[in-house]
Amino acid sequence: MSDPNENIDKFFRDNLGNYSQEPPAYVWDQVGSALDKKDRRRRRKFFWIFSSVIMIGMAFGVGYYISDSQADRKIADLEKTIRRMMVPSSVISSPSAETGDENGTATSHTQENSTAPGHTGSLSKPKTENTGPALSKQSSSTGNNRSNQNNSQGKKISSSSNPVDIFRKNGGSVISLTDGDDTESTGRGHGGDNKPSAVTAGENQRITYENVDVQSYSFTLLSATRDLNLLRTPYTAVAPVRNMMQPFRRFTIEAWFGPQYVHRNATLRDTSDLYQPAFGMNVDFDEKYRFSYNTGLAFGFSPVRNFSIFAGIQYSTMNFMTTRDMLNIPVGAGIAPEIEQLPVYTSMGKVSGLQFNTDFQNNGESPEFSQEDTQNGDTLQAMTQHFATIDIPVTFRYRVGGRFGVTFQAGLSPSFLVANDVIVMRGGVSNAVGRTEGIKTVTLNGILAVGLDYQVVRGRLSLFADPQVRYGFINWSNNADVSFHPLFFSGNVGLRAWF
Amino acid sequence: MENQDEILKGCVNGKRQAQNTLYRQFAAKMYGVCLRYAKDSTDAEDILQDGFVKVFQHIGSFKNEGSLEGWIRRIIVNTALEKFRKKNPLYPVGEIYEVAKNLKYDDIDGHIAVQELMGLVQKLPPGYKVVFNLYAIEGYSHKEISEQLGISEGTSKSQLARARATLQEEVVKLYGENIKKKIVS
Repeated sequence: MSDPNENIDKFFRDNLGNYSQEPPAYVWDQVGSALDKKDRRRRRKFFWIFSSVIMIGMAFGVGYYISDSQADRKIADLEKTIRRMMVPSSVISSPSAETGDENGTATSHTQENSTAPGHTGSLSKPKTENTGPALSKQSSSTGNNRSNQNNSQGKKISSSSNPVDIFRKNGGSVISLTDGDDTESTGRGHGGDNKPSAVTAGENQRITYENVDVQSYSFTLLSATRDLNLLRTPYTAVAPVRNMMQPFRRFTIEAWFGPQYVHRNATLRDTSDLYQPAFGMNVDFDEKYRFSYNTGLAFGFSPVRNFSIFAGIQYSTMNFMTTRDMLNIPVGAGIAPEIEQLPVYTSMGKVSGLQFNTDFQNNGESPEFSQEDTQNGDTLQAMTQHFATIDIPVTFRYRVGGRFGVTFQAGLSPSFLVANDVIVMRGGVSNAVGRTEGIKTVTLNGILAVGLDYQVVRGRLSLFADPQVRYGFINWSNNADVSFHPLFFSGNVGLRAWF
Repeated sequence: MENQDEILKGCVNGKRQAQNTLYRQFAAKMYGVCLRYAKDSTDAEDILQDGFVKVFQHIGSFKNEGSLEGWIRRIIVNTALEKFRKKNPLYPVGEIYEVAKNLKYDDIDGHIAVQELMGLVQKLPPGYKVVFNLYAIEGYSHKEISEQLGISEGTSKSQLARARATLQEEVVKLYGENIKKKIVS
C-alpha cells in the first residue's frame, strides 16, 4: 500500500511542479526600472567613494605640498633670523633655554654673558648680546603641547646640537630673544592652538607688550554624519565646531550650546635628550580636569542634494589642550555621500579665529603683560602669531534607535601645520622675528565616542540634545612632547530650523 | 537565436536586450514557482520582479556547472523565502501527526484544473505553504528547511503535516465523489 503522504505530495508535485504561466508584461518593465535604479545607485556610490578619495587625497597632497614646498625657504628665513640673534652653539649649552607651555607662555633666563654676533632685529639693542633662540618642542597643530621650561630653577640644558638644526628638526615656533647679563625676563605670547611663541628680553631691554593677538587660519576637511551633524570636530585643531550644515535640507539655521567636562589625561612622551630634562620636571598636569563650553550659530544651504555650503560663528572657551578662548568663523562647503549603512560626509572649510588670552588673567599676570622698556622707553606694541593648519578629519557616526538614538562615533584627524609666523610691532613697524612654517609638523588624533541623540521635532523646528562620552585614543605628533588622551563628558543642546 | 553563452555574456555586461531574452526564456516557469509561494498574483509578481533583479545582479557568479534554470529557480525560491521570513515568522504548531486518509490521487478521474490546485496551495497559511512547497515540490529535506527558515525540524514536520491535512480536506471538497471512489481501503 502506498504512503498516503507521498501520494498527496506527488499529486501536487506532478500538477504544480512544472507549472508555468506567463506573467503580466509590465513585470519586465518593473524589472528594467529596478535594474536602472540599481545601476544609478551603484554609479552614484562609486562616484561618491571616488570623490571622497580624491578629495581626501587632494587635501593630503595640498597639505604635504605646502609643508614641503616652502620648507627650505622658510627654514632659510628662519636661519637668517636666528643667526642675527644667536650666539655660538656653545653658548646654548649654557643654561639658557626656553620653552613654551600650552598657555602660550614662555620664559627665558640667561645666567651668563652671551656673545651674540648680531642683534635681534626689532627686539634687540645693538649693544646687547643675545643668546641663541630659545628652543622649544613645538606642539602639533592640535596643540597638545604642555611644557614648562625649568631654567627658572637653574637647571641647565645641555646640547651640542646646533639650534638651527634643532629648529629644523622640531619645527619649534618659539623664538626667544634674550639680552643682557644675568637677566631674566619673561615674555608671553600666544600660540595659536597651542603653538607657543614667546619673545623675551633681558632686563636691560624691558619691553612692553601692549597687545597680543593671535589669528588662526585652519583649512579643514571636515567630516559629518548622517543625522545632520556635519561639522563635529571636537578632537581636531579646530575648535569644536558643531553643526554647520544640514546636508539634505535646503536652508537650515541652528543655534547650540555645548558644555563639556574633560579629564585631560596627559602623559609625557619620550623626548629627546635635549628636552627631556626640561619637560620631565616641569610638565605640570595638576589641572587634571577642566570645564569648558562652546556656543554658536550656523547657517547651511544645500542647493543640490548631497552638497552644502555653510557659515557660522562660534565661541568656545579653553578646551582640553588650550587655555585660550576662541572665536571662530567657519565657512566652507562639503559633499555628503551616502554609502549604504555607514555614510561618510566630508567637507572642505576654512575656519579662522581670534583667540583671547584669558589665561594671562588667571595667573595673576597682567593681561596685557606689559613690561616697560627701561632702557629707552621703546615699547613692543604688539606681538602676533599667525598660524595655519590643514586638518583632515574623517568621522564615522552611526545612529540607532528612534527619538532617543544611540550614537557610536569614531574618527581620525590627521593635520598639518603649514604656517607659523611670529610678528612683533615696535614703533609702529612690524617685524617678523621668526617663521617656522613648512617644517612638516604632522599630527594624528583619533576619538571613540558613544552617546545619545535626542530630538523633538515640531514642524520645521527641532530641539536636540546629544550627551556624549568621548575618548581620545590616538594623540600623536612628530613634534609633540605630551600626549593627551582626554575623556570628555559633553553634550550639545540647541534649536534647529529648516525651510 | 542567440545561444545561452552569448545571452549570459550580454547579461553579465548589463545588456538590456540579453536580459530581456533571458527573462522571456524563464519568466513563465518562474512565475509558476512564485505563484506557489505567493498569496496571490500580485504577490507573485513582486517575487518574480525581485528575483530576476537578483538574477541579473549576480549572473556573473553563475559558473555554468549546473543548469541555468535550476540556478534561477533557486534564486526565485530564495527570494520567496526572504519575503516570507520578513512577513511570516514561523511558530511551532504542535506535534506531527499522520494524514489518516489514504487517497490515491493518481487515480482521480476527470479533469483537474491546475489553477484550482494552485489556489488551494495559495490559500494555505504562510508557514504551511512554504514548508509544503519546499518539501513536497522542491524536494528539500526537513533539515534543509529548518536551516532555511530558522526553525526546528520538528516544526517543519508539523507544518508539513498540517499542510497535507489541509490540502487533503480541500481536495476532497473539490473532487469529493471521485476521490471517494478511489479510496484504498
